[in-house]
Parts: sequence; C-alpha cells; structure tokens
Amino acid sequence: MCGLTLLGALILFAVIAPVFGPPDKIYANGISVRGLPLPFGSAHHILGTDSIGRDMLSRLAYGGRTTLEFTFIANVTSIGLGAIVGITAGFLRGWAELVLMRITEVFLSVPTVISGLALASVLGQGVLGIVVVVTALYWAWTARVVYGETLALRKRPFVEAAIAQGVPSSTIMRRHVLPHLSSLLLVLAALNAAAVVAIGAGLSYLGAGVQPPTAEWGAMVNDGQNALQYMPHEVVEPLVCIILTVLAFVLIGEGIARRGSISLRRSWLDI
Amino acid sequence: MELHEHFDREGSAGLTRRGLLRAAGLGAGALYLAGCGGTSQQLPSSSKQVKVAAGIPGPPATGGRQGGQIAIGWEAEGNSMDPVIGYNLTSWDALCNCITAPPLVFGAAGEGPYPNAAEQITASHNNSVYTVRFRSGVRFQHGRAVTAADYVYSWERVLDRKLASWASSYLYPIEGAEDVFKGKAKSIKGLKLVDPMTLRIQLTEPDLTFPNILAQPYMAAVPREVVERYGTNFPTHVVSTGPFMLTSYDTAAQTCTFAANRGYFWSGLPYLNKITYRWGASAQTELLQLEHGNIQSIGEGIGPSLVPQVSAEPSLQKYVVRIALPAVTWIGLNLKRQPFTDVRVRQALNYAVNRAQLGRVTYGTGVPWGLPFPKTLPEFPRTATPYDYDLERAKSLLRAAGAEKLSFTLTSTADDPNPSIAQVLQQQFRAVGVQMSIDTVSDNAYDTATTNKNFTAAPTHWYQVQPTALDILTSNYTTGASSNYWNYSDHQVDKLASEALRAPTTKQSNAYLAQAEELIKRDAPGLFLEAINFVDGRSPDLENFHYNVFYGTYYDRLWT
Repeated sequence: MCGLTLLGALILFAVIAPVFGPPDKIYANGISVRGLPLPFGSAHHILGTDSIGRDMLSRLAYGGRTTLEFTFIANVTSIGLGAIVGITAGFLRGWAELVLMRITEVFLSVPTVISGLALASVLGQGVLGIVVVVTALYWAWTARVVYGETLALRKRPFVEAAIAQGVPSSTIMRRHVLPHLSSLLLVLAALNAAAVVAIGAGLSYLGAGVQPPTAEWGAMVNDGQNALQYMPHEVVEPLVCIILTVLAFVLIGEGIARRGSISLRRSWLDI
Repeated sequence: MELHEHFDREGSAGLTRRGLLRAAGLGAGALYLAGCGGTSQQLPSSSKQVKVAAGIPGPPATGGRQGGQIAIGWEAEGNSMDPVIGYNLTSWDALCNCITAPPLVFGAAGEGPYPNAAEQITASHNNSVYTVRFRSGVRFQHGRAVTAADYVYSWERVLDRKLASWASSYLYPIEGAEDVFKGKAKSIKGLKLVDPMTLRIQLTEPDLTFPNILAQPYMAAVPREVVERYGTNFPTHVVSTGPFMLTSYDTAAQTCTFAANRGYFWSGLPYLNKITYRWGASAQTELLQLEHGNIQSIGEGIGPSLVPQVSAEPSLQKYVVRIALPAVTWIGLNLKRQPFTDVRVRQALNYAVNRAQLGRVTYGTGVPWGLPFPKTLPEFPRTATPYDYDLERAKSLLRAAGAEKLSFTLTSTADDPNPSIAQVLQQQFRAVGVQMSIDTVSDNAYDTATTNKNFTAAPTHWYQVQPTALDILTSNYTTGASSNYWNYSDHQVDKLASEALRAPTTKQSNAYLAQAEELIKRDAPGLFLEAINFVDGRSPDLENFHYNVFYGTYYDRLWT
C-alpha cells in the first residue's frame, strides 16, 4: 500500500508537470547577479534553478515523465522477453532448453553498466536507447526465474494431463502455465522497474541516456554535480526523486512477494 | 597554455593547435591561472633594494626584494622541458617564464615583440631579410657566453626530425629550413653569421610577422655541449638563458625545482630564489592547496567547473584575477551542409544569439563578442561592428531565405561550458523557429568529426599566440587553412591575408586585416559568441604580479 501510494504520488507529480511551466525555459531571473543558480526556497522558484536558470520543480516533474516512460516500456519489454524465453525453455526442455538457457547465462554474466554504456554508444541516445539497453541487459534475470518456476509447473498434474491429451505446447504454455506465473511476473515487474529506474538514470548520468534539453533525473544529477559544494539542491533533488521511485517499486514488489512468499530483492538490485 | 601555434601548416612534424590544446586537457573556455602567491616556506627576504638593469621589456621590474620561494600546482606533468619539444601547459609555463629567454619577447598585452636576448633586429628587402644582433653579456645558465652560432645550432635543432619538434614548421619561412627538416640539407641556407654576435636571416618571401617567431621559447639558445652530454636526458637537465634554471626533476615525487639564475642578463632579476612545480593534483585539490598556502598558484587555472564555486565563495575572491585574452569562441558552421549553405541563415542565427545571456552562464570566463577576431588586439583599427541581439532581423533574414522552420544538429563535447552554452543556444534559436538538437560526443569523436568535416555545427575556440589577427585568419578563414573545417573560402579574404603578410608595416597589415574581418563577419562562417577571459588565481601575498597573455606570469619580477 505504501509503495502504491508513493508511486501514485510520483505519477501524479509527473502528470501535472505542465502546471509548473516548461522544463527548458531559461528564466531571466533564474540566475543570480553573481551568475549562480537560485537556491532551494527562492521566491519564484521554490526548488531553485539549475546552472543555466531553468526551474528545478518543472524539470523534476517533466523528468518524472521521462523516467516513468522508459521504466514502463523497458519493464514490459524485458519482462515479456524474459517470460517468453523462460517459459519456452522450461516447458519444451531438450534442445530449446539447452540453447535458451546457455544464451541466458551468457547475458547474465555480462557486466551491466559497462555493457550498457557500450550498447548505448552503438544504439544512440534517448529514451529508445535506454529501452533497448535495459531490455538487452535485464531480460535474462526474468528468464532464469521464470524457467525455474516453469520446470516446477510442468510436473503439475493439470499440465501433464493437458500434454497427455495432446494439447499443443503453445496452448499449454499460454493457458495453463502462464496464468500460474502471473504473481511471480508481477513481483518481477516491480523489482525490475526499480532496477530500470536506477540503470536508466545511471546511463543518463554517464551521458549515454537522454540528451539535453530533455529533463531526466539521472541527467540532472550529472548536470548538477559540479555545483554540489555550493548549490547541492541541483543534485539532491533529482537524487531524492530517483530514490523515491526505486523505493516505491521495491515496496510494491515486496508487498506482492509477501503474499506469495517470494524473495527476490537482493539478486534483482545487484546492478 | 598552448599559445604557441602560429599557423597550422600541413605536413608539419608538429601538432595542430587542436592537438596541443587537447593534450593539455583544455576545452572551450579553458582558463589559465598563473598567479603566484606567497612562499609556503618563508625564507628570510633581503630588505636591500636591488638594482635592476634598465630597458627590461614588459611591466615594471624594479623595487623588489630578493629572496623567497613559491610553489605552483599543476594537474599534469610537463611533457618536456626541452624548448623544442615542450608544449603542454606545464612545459610552456616553465619554458617561457623560467628556462628560456628568446631573442625577442611580447609585451604583457601581446604588443611588440621587443628585444630580449637580441639587442636589435632590423628588417630589410621588404621584410624578407632580418638582421639580428644578439646582446653581449648573455650567458647560458652553466656560465658560457652565448654567441650567434648558438642560435644557428639551436634553430637547426628545431628542425631535427629525430626530435619531432611540433615547432619545426614555424621555421619554414627561413630559406633552406624546410630542406633541413626533410633531410635534404644539413644546415639552414638562409642563416648567415655576419659576426660572432650578428645573424642575417634570409626568408623565402617577405613576412612582416617573422619577428613573432623569434619571441617563442623554442627560438631560445641551448648549448650544444650540454645537449650532447645529456642526449635524451637533456629535458631533465635543460640549460638555456632564462631567469631560472632547472635544478631538480623528480617524476616519482611529481615535482621539479628551478633556482634563480644569478647570471641572468637582466641583472638584478629574478627576485625569487626558487620556484617549485608540483603536479598530479586535481583541480579541486589545487584550489584547497591554494587556500591553505601549500601552493601559491594553480598552474592551469581554476577549471571551468570550479569558477562558479569560486564566484560563490567570498573568501576565495582575493585569489581571483580575470584577464582578457586574445582568444575567441564560436560555433563553426559547415558551409557545405544544409541549412548553412545560405549566408542569410548564418547571419540570422548570429542575430538570434543573446550573447549577454550566454555570458551569465559562463561565469565571467567569456564576454559577449560578435566578431571573428579577438576583441583585444594591439593597434588594430577595427571597423566591423559586432553582431548584436536582434530577433526581428533574424526572423526577417530567415524569411528572406525561405527558411522559417529549420533544424540542425550541434556536435559538441561534454567539456564545460559547452553543455550549458549549447542548451542556452537551443532555447534562443527556438525563439526564431530553429530547432537545434545536441549531439554530445567524446573529445576524440569531436576531433574526428571536425577534422573530417563530418558535422553541421560544432563549438570551437582559438587562442592567439601572436599580436596579429593573421594568427586566427590564416589558420581558420583562408581557403584550405589547416583549421578551416568550415569549408569557408573567400578569395577577397585570401587576398587580404596575403597582403597583410607582405605589408611593410604593422599599421598597413592591420588595415588589411580589418577589412578581412568585415568580410568574414558578413559571410558569417560561424556564430561568433564570446571573447575569452582567463580566471587567474594567485596568493594575495605576491607583489608585483604581472601576467603576459601569451607566456603567463612574469616570475622574474615577482617578489614576496
């Protein structure tokens, strides 16, 4: 419930972003007479401004849109791909299992951040780049977990009965196996989303994600890091947003997991 | 500061200005800090006033106290203390201000050059022959007297392919120099010893700017016997004629020291007994060291990312001095790519730039400047007026060009302050209906893109090393110039450049250059943004601090 409430608040914050003004407008009063950004709590810019005079509140809200956008898309694609691979390998066994699981293991052994940067340099920057990178890096986690659960489900009587009756494999996987994985997939989706937020922000922080002037929390942390000593709000504010979003997804995932006694958090957030 | 590129020439064994700046880690808006502060270890200073020789070029040098020492912090080690090899910021500072004393030197604001180790230079035959009489009494730091033959040896050494000097091409104006570099001759044909202290220099063609080359550190004399004795170790045992001599070099400890040359030909100088260079610290650490008195100067300057911090802290203001440089920054436009094939579009964008707003996000490291040549040029009879901020005119030009909905990509690096400038420009151009996307790439990718002319627009900058606009003109704006990545070509500009080079006097040369600036402004091969300032930092304990826009701090006349 806490997680859902938090996520709801973040979504609402992103939805009402236009209320706070455009994210890339450079305000004439956004820079002090000494050429410095306005601090937190300034009269016309409650969360302050960044180093070129843009309103932080507006950029955080629009940044939330970008973050939630790539989180949702990347989550769906990585969970979807992972589920397809895991179910296929776990149900069909034989050569399919051998090949798919070996591929999965290769992807699991790839270091995430470095590979992400390398992929981003090839695929280009922006939300699409983040989606493709995250999908490529995270589907394997889902695949492995789903594979294990599918192995167990395959031995269940109703599945064996369906096989014995000659029901096509694809139908069994879709109608008998997948529904029983729904809770697991929900948990995986929540925890995966937390990781996606972090890795997406990390890629933007490293310059491989969203490009200016698009507002995105990770990129905002990068922009503000040089000002950390004298204008910490430029870093602290987007960082808090990232942390809250990750926390929301983790709480949701743990809440669902508690209902089904599945504990996956540690491995999931080992980025 | 790599203020040592004259003309980027093709086929040089040396580096382009781009490569030198990149090697020193400098980007757009790089700052030079060369102040000196009080001594970290206070030695007793002599209270006796020193009698200083008359006629020293540059700022006032009298009235100081001998003694004391200073330490200067650097991020990077010098690439070499050999005058013909050293080029990065640390080396350049040491060579110009400690180790060498070239025949001529520029004034503090870039004027001149003036006699230094040379007593007199006379031009004849329409500036195609220069006769240099060297000053008697000039001695190498190990004691031997310098003669004109030492300069012949030293200049031939610049052309030694084994040394791969970046400066070799700058001697090509001397007849026979290129043949020596190519191995076709053993000695420079155009150098003739008139007497032991006089050298006659025959150029391949008239060149008014040749004396500027004699003001460079690689033109200082080095003793053959020391070079031959130390061989490849000469850089760590360098001997020349400057006010300070290298006395120790410890790579492991990341430090080197210079002691006062008490035989310096400008008698009475230097005042300081010792200068220590310490390298390897980050910019932030150097700032802390400066605050705590561990160093008296940050060699490369306060990095662009630290300037806002310095601006924000009143306690740091006492260390800061801003100095206008003969340097500019602009956005280069590829004239062979849409939308910049139309001059009206280029002019329109120049009018769409609010340079005052840009200046606010660059923290005083640049001042608004809408012309191609540096703002500060000695004796320059400027006639062009800078582009100003005029939205209506910008829109009108775009309408006339039929280009009211444009888009293009700016290829930029992540070096400060490029990201800020790019985002500000992005919004400014939106006001005239132009969409600019930003492609942030690595330094290497940026170099490749611009060198191969595979870009549409890219930020760039130029730091002059001569007090004449020929420096920037012949490197960036003449047809086929080595840094002319913009595909800019105007035969009138080429003709004016040629005439400026051949002009009999500086006044006449500058008159041609002023005309060239008008034409380049009209053609707008770039979006001219700012004139660059240095944010210089030094300990307030220093006295008689002066700064030369080409060389750096005048250590010789500094005292504590």
